[in-house]
Amino acid sequence: MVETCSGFDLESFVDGECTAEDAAGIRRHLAECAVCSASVDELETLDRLLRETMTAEVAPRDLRQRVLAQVENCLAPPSRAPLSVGRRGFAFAAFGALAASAVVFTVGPRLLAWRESRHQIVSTLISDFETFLFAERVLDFTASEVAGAVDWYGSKLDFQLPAFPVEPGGNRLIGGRLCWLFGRRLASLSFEGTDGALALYVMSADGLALPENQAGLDVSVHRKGRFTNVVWRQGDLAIGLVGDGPSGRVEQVAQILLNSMG
Amino acid sequence: MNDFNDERGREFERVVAEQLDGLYRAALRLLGNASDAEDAVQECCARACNGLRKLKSDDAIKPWLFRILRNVCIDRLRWQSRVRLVSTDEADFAAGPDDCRAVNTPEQLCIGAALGRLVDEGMRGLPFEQRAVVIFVLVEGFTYAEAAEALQVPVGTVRSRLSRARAHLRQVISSRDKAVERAGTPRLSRLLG
Ligand SMILES: [Zn+2]
Repeated sequence: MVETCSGFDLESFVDGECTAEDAAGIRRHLAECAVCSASVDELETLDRLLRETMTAEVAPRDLRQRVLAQVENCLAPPSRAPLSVGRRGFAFAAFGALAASAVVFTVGPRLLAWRESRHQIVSTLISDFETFLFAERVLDFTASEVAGAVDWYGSKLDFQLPAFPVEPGGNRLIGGRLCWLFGRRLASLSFEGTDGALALYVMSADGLALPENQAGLDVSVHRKGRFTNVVWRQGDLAIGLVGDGPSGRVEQVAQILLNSMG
Repeated sequence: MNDFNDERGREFERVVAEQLDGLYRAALRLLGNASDAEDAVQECCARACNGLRKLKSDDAIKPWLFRILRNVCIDRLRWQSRVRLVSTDEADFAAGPDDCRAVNTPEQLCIGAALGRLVDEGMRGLPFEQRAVVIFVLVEGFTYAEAAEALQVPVGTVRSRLSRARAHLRQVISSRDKAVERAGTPRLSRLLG
């Protein structure tokens, strides 16, 4: 506590949190008490130092742009039918053959530094995935079979969801969500594995900037914190696979998907 | 729904744009590094966007936004404590240039940088919740009531945390300040006074 004569709350006074009556009393006291007066000076000096030092920091410009774009996007959602949550019991359909195909990965992924990447598809998909995990959001539907997922999306998407393995790299399909990002509808399929969660985002590539690739490579791998996002183009579709846990694992699953979805 | 989009939505957008620096600064101080701070601000705004419809029409957006930020930071620290240590990159704090030769009024800026480092040190020595009170009240200008709302604690708790935090900061800064004085540099209070 600040050194003070008789229970004057000088901190509240300095913070402007006293009643007018108390403030007037303290002001009268300060006029005749050098000790309290010095305490108030010291408090104000400390506060000014803290304020001046800490307000020198401003948000990076690209963060500002990202956030404002995100807010704008979020405030203008698509007109869509309300989603039913937690639908269960889809008819079984076998897609096992695809899962089993462990084709050799022939396209070397290019690792891009996060800071260099200005592509929304890289950062936004990671943010969405991270928020989904942190907020413990529910899936729009649950499905353990590919057919169930394809069924659920049905006409909700403006593209045909390609077939995909039900358990790529040992990661189990658990369901999915319909997202609205980059001004378009996306399918976001959730997988669960022993090493963490994965989300496969599938969307139309129309007008979407994908990370530039050099030397004819068409897959890029981005790491940010504990998240990895592997982005590629598949025909008219843009695809991002985001996962937490070891980066090598996400890349491995991406390879399986890339080979089987093509 | 249309009313919401037109008015509340636009107000939300305005508050976010206005408070973005403050949110970033707070995240930087609460998490200790710029890259986590950026992520936290983005996640905070995403959560806020998604929860905006649940906010009552007369609830103030600013304290609510900082409350979400605080929760995001706590989640992140909890997660990091499970997977890795929180790294603190000193270079991420824009406390002032260390290289005095690079600026016009070297002496002043050097002293500024030294004080900035003292503030960093003092802030890092504070528990998370006290740091949050200092940022909200002293840096971002929240009233006690707004800070209480943002931190989900009674006003009395804000008052006592702030008092403890000030005592700690004053101690860190004035002990070093005396050392600076002995080294022939004018004292903090005179510099700023
Ligand atoms: Zn007195």
